[in-house]
Amino acid sequence: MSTPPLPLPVFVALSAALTGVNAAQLNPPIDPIGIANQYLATLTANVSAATLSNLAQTFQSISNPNQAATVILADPVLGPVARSIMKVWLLGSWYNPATPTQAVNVVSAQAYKESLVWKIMQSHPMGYSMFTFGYWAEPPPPLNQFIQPAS
Amino acid sequence: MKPSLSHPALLSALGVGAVLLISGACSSASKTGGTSSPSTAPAPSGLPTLSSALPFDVTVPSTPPPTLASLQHDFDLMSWQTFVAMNWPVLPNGQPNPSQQPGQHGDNATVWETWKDASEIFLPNGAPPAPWGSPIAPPSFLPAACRGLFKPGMRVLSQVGKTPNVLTESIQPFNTGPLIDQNGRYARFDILVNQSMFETIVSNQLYNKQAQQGIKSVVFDCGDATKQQVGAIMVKSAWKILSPAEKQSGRFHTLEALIYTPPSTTPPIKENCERATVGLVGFHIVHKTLGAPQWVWSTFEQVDNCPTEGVPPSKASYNFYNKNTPAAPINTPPPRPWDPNTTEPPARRPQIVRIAAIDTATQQLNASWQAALRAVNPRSVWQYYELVSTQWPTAPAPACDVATSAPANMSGTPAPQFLANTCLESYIQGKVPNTSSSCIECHLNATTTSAAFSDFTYLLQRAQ
Amino acid sequence: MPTSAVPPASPVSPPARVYDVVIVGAGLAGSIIAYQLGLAGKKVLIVESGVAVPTSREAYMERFYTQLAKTPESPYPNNPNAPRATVLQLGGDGAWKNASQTYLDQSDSTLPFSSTYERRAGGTMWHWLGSSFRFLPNDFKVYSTYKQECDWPISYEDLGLPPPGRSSAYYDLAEREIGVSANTADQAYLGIQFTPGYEYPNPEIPLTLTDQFFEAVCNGKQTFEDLPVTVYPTPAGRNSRPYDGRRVCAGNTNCIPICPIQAKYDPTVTLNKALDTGNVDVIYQAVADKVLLDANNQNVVGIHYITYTMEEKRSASGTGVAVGKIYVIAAHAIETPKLLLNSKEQLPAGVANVSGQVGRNLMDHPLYLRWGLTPQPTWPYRGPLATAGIESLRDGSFRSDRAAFRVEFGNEGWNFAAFDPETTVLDYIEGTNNSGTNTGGPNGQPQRLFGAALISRLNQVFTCQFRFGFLVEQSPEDSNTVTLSDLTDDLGIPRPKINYNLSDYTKNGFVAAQALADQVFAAARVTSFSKPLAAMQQDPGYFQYQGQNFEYHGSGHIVGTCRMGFTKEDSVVDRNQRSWDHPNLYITGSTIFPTVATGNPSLTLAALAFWAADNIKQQLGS
Repeated sequence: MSTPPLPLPVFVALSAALTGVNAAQLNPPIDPIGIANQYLATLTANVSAATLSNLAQTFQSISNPNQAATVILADPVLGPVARSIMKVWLLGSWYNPATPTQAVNVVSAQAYKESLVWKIMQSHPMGYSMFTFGYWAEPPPPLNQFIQPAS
Repeated sequence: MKPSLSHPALLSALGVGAVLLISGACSSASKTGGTSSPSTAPAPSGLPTLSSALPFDVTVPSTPPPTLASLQHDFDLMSWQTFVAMNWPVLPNGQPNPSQQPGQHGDNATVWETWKDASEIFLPNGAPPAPWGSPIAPPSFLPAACRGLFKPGMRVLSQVGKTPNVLTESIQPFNTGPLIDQNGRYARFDILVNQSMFETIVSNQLYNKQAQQGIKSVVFDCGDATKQQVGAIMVKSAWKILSPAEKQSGRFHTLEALIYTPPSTTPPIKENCERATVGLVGFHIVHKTLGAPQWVWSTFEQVDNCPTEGVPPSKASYNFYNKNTPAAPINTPPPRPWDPNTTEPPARRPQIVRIAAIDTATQQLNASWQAALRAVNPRSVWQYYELVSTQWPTAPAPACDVATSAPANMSGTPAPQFLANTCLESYIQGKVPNTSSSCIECHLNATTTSAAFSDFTYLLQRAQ
Repeated sequence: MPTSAVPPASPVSPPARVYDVVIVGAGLAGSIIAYQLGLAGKKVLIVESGVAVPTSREAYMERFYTQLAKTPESPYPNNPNAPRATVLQLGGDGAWKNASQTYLDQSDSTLPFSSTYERRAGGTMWHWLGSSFRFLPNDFKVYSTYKQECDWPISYEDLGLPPPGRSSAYYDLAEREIGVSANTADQAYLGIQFTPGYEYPNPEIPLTLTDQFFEAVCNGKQTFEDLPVTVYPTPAGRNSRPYDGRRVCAGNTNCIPICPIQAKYDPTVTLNKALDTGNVDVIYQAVADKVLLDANNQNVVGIHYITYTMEEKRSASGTGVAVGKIYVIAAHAIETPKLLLNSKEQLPAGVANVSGQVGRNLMDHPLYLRWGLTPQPTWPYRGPLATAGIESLRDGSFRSDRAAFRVEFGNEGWNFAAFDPETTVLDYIEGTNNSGTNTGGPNGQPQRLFGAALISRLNQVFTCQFRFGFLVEQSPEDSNTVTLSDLTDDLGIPRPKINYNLSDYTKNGFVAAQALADQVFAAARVTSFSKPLAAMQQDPGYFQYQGQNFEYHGSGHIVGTCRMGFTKEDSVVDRNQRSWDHPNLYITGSTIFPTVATGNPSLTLAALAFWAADNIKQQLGS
């Protein structure tokens, strides 16, 4: 069995550095949804193995994740891929690195439901509320109950 | 408060619970509501031990570190232990019979059938219910004509499916439709609660609509292994009217029931009362515990209900599926209006199919528990029941009060994401968030009559 | 789009019976009338162009979740057999005029008609917002009072107080069927009165933080043109208590396009009750294309329809004729005039059109959006889409000179106004500034953020977003029309051709709306954001007026095209909603509104439907 060019744990660690969301939230140890796998599969289907491998190696070669993210985001090839990764986590939609402002599709209904931008705004995806009647009349719980920071 | 991303409450349930069940044999006295020791039967080697002791919480072994699959197994195990304990033969005082095992005489009256059902709790004018342990009096809405048919100990089944137009009290979403069997008869449903849940309702006057107006918070009690206490448990049972052949088959737990249909104008339905032998076909058990304050949702079915989509039907016949019309549209109720007094013709009998196959691991667990039940008596009716799955929160609230302790994730990220019983959620079996059957997601929308969150039960909407 | 003759594969036998009533359209009006008639033991047939109510809304929700553009149409499949306009067809840069890409032929229209509708059982109200306003007494008599627009041949009292011999007003019946949540104490303004002792079926829905913020700024503190600026809770067909077997609102913030849990009323509720009476049949996937008259062109003798088999593929399968004693057209305000005009074999001007008014006076509430950031978080994107608004300016002497408006507070941040959250997320990842908020870099340049800084900035921006929507009372103009295009749909039926414009009276309303927004925003110390002019100019709804730049959207309120009136010369139906020309033909729905008034149309539509049902029952006799 060959090693995938971008193994899941590296993908998750990289995603945490890029999005600012803790790896344990992106890919919980007990996980009935498996959204990280879905996103990695989307990435793998749309980005060459060589680029993914390059991405993995670059990330792992720099010990400070923020520095690694900075370097990657500045790279002409890796930067667009990293930004697509950020968008898929935040919005649940896939944007091809080459066409960064035009979404290709919503990855899945689950991806929309799991998209993180809504937690970032201390709310819920439009169409998926697990809150109770009248919650909107009061301020929401603080941000740190929605988003566990990466560090 | 940090979001709960590990399973701290489960790990703390290890303590007594693990010792209690891993050691198998005799158990110490437990607070299952009585003073007699729970019975356990020495099991044939390799088979699960049958016990009348209700689990207090899920038991999670301390090693190896839990995985999604291992936790699912732990909850499925809890489901079976609960099923067996609840279906234990019952004494007149409501306690499990220490000298009899489930199915020892084929079938038996059960512990849970002595619990209070919804019609005994939510009375006209919000009157207080009779205390726990009082004999089952006829539900007050029974007209005089029906009372003549009533005998002490009978259940009164008046609920028909998830159809608000037929029931004054049903609150299921989308009015999806009734369940009609292959004999053309409408299935009937019954909701019951255990003493813990009943006492919370009574002591807070939650049976009364006016009293509910002042209540902003409802929190039922949690099962607690440390305190040796069972939490709130609610049950929803689905029953089928049995033909003579089905009665003879010995494949159903049965009881004598009074099938009462209240009158209605729209749809036009005549008031009706009949006695019938009914067989249990679907069974939800929901137990609130400290390890799962979003409750543990177990669901069982009689094994002949319907085939699974994509798997060739192997049985001779099914309760809710017609092998002779394999091309009929599946999981579609007949057109309105629906009249539960009618015996529907074949074209109006829905063709029910299980959409999500039962997991292999769960199927294996089912086989071992069915074998243990069969070992008591080869003609035990209880061997003909199977666990579909158990839904549980993977990120459980850190405390028993979910609304205040976990406001940012009240659902607790359930596993499996979707779960349906083909008898009880026949028409919403799917994988669409917020819409397909998911116990926790749907029940999170449950409220009192004053729109306060009701801790995952729709029962409180019945208060008058 | 290709033109084609109708290819009937094999004719469908017409229904074997003569019904008491045949209704075209299983939307709000059709469902209410069918239910009322069914309860009275009358035999009803509904001819519905779209598909039946699905067993569950899973398929609609799945489609919604996976659409990139979450338009009102996003849950509902396109149906070439019963096509309709969509928001995506309103392309910028003039694309909305390209009739090869749209259903409505707007090729010769001055401005785009921007509201859309659905053709399926349950109708357009699958995706209504839920706002359930009564019209004001003066809404029914704008001409008598202000010498503008026209009067209705009915008054507020006809709908808002019980008719003689009845205990409930038609508005009461409508509110009960829908399950409107409101408190009468908060709704008795500008002349609205209630049946003595009346209370709404459900209590008022709590206000959001956005509402509370602006309420504190306005109420008792702001006036505009000498009128108080007052925020009121919005009465809504959305459960604030378990009601009618449906769940309580969980704040899914998704009323448009679909409520996942049906806490928001939709007409499938009433349609199901109609079916439950046992007296109502529906033929789905049957597109009514001709109203047939007797040899004297007096009575309607049938509704001719074309059937099809598959929702998402062209699949015409046959034809049929629905026969009844009385006929009701309730197909919404574009398909209804289209059907009448297309029935031109016997009367060249179409059925029910001696007045020449069929298809005229097409109206909407053109919607003026303003949006911005509050100084402190108000946490939008939570709760129902709208729970309050400024209602105190719906009426006043200004109506002599300019259109009135109501102001809706949107709870969805900049979702509608700026296609958020996508726009702002892209801004901070890509370093663009389409939202207008990304000016924090050196020299006001956009920033490109990641990690903790990205989360912090996004939280800062999103939690302060808000938007206002001004629903302007467009005046009726007989040059705003629905006629028949030469272009046809896939069943060979002529498509609707639209001519649409905004009068100066209406545009004066926009000028005032802009002034009010500026005033309230200044008082609230919010920061206003708007589209760059270059972008606005390409949008379909852009116009210039008095040297200012405006953009409007559709509110989804399609009214006016078969108006009710005082005489047969100037209107299509009388005050009883019956055609002046054909004694057994009723036309109902928002198509009969003589003006669009100052409230969202659905509640008044429902009240009129209850009234029409009474009229029809009376005509049928017992």
